[in-house]
Amino acid sequence: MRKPVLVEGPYDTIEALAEAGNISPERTRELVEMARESIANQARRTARSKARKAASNRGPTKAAKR
Amino acid sequence: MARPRLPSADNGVVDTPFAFLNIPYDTEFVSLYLAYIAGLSAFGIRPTASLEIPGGDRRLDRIFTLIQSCRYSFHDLSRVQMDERRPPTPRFNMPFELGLTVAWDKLNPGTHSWFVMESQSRRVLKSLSDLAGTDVQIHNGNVNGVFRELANSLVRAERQPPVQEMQAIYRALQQRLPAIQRQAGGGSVYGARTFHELRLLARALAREQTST
Repeated sequence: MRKPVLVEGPYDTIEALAEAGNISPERTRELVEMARESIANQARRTARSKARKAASNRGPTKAAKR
Repeated sequence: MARPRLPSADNGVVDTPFAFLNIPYDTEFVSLYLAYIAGLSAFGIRPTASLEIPGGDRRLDRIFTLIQSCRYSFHDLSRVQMDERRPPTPRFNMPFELGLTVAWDKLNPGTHSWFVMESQSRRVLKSLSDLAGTDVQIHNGNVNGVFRELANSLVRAERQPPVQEMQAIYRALQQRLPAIQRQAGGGSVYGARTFHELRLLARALAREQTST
């Protein structure tokens, strides 16, 4: 299960990040969202490539052999 | 002697060690610049650099304060060379800032760890022979080399992220850089605002990585 990120504890709030980073809270929120999106995209790409590799290792299906 | 803090530093809000990045600000260095931000963020370290210093201040004082506020510093001497723009001039800023750091460390042992990075082995012995006997990290001028040498330098850091994690953060930074630059009004990738946003994005990416 995914743990909640960047919302737990005083060190990880958007406000703390924004203050520490000299960036507005709105923009900080956007950047955090960007990070989540990027990691999710990379995970999807990895999963697709693993699935492709697994499919190519299985060889042709029975139907294709016929 | 108490270590000075910059007004823009975390001041306890976020418990993160800082690293001073002493790097060249030129177009051929962009990928390594992103690699340093990605790599350090993966280690849970917050990069900082002289490009954050606003114009008009007494620059040297601010750079020295910045160095003193950091637990680590990385001095990349791979592009200490002649700047061909007229008048052709060698670049002294990076070795000078390294000298300031070494002096700070000598006067305050145990408060700061500094690392010298280069792309070619043994070149530093010619360009800065005073460093004879110092371990120089050779990154071969490539992104994975920077990750490898950061990992070698930070073996005692609390977090030990795998290189794959640094690569993932780097890829995301590279992908998002044009949008971040647009948001900052274009201009140099070495602008202070772009740097702040890249650093925050890298930190958020590192947090996301460790939580998945």
